Amino acid sequence: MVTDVAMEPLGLEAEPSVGQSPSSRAWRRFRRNKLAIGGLFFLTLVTVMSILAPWIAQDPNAVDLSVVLQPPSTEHWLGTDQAGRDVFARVLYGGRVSLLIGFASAISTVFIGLVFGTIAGYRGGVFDWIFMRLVEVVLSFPTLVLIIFFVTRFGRNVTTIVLVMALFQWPISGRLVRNMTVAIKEQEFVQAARAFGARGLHTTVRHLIPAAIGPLTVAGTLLAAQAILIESALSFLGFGLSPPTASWGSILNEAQNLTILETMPWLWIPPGLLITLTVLSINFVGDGLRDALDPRTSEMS
Amino acid sequence: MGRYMTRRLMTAIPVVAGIMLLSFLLVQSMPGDPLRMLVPPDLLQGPEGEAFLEAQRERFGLNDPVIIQFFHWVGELFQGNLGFSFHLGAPVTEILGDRAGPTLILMGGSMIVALTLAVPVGLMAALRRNSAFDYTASAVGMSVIAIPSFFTALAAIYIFGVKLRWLPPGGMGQDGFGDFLIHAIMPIGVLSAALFGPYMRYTRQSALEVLNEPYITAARARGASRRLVVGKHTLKNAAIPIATVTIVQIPLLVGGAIVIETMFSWPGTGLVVFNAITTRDFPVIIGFTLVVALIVVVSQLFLDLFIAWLDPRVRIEG
Repeated sequence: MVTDVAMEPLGLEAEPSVGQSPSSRAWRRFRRNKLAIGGLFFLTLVTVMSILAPWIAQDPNAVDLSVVLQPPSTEHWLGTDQAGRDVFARVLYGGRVSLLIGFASAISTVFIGLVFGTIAGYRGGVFDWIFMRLVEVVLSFPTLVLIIFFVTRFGRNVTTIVLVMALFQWPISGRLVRNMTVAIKEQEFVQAARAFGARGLHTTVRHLIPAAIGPLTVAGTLLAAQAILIESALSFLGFGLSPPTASWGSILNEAQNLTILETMPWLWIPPGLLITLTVLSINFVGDGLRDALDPRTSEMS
Repeated sequence: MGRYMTRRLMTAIPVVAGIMLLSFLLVQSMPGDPLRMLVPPDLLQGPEGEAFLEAQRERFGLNDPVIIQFFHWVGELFQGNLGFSFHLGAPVTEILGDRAGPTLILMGGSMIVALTLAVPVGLMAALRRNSAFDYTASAVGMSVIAIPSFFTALAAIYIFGVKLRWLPPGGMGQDGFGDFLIHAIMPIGVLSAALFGPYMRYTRQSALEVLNEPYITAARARGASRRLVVGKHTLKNAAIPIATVTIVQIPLLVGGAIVIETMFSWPGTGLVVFNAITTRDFPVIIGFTLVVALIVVVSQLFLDLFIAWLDPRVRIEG
């Protein structure tokens, strides 16, 4: 695991640990956190069920006007919607979209942040100054509106949504990496490496990036949670993937009228609960990871 | 103070320039003739329209290099011209300005409600760290962060609007203050629920950091009462990061306001922007994002200057 390297450079080997790698200690700490384990379990369950959707559920887009707006039954576990489509199938297939966009955005965001943040922190000077101003510029804009703007302008597909999210979320991970790089650059082991003749790129790859992996994993989970929420808002407002593709937000969008709200709870409560529980689980896992990867913070918060 | 002010302005001015540049790039990326959004649409009617357009193209310098065009655009901006709506036939400034009131009420109201709840709870959680109260507060904070505000809104409409019939499910009351208040409860309640989470967690964290400071220990050692330590020292010093986070959260809050205004038919700028998106009225969307970004940067600047004025340490180190 990469976490091995992440711990050593920071000089966190204070506690005696005979015959234990840092990653196995991190895992032991993580396992003690009940909320994090619960979150991980729920997340795995939702992910596996979404992946297996074609084998578990019916066709999510099959219109059947003879069974419109039916309550849950053995035939349709979560009932049917206005077009007679199976809500359970739409929720599972919707999970594929929401989770894919969430995690793909988080990974792209972290990657862009890693590249920009390392360069800014390592090179310093003008690079750093421009980087920090750019971060401020991007973070001042209302992200949701800009994401909607680009998605409606350049196409309502997964790739556009993921790229646009990364384009407006990277400052969060970028600033984190930049601050870490600045802090680590001054540490003795990096200076020693330089004194031995290590060149810029080598020092960066060998020392700075591994040290940033731990905090970045944590930031990545929070960004994934954020991305799932943004995507759901996007789809809820009707600007997500083009219909009939389901995502959790778009199922709720179709349920936006008082009659449905009052008499057909199966149409709006399950997707709403799933978004909430998924985001909550990701945040629990993130918190657990933070405490497990960095023993210093477990005391702080 | 003068030196700090100069230094702070030296970082704020490039950010404002960057915001304008990014917005200008958005304008450039728009489909269609950029001139059509700068000119009142009634002047473009009829056969003279084309000749007029050509004359204007020369006048607005649209045959100039892009960089010159940028400065022209900024010049227009400083005169309050954000361009014209594609569909509403009115200046963007007017469209947004007319509807700013309800949005400011919604956002301001939610911030006030969220702060009055979140600050005491966060402070209490920090003081009784690892107590049952602390864990409950954290759990509530994490949950409200995870619930999408449109789901809270749907649930609120279902419970209070449909089942109990206590509150109207939408609109902004026009029949006096009482009617207005009844219509405002749900939108403001839902939006402040979304803000409660981040505000509370941030208050708790800032208070914890302050409580670790030597001057708190010193105050306690001198025999200062708990009330004095909390009320005077902790709250005062934690107030600065809390104020900062309320500003940092504005772009997110704006996103929430759009969702809430659409759901409750609250007639503010959020609803205008939502309609602009559905009709692909790009000048309105770009104008709106530009105004929000400028508000965020300028309020951040004023807050920082205010903090520096209060706290000499910031002036010297920051």
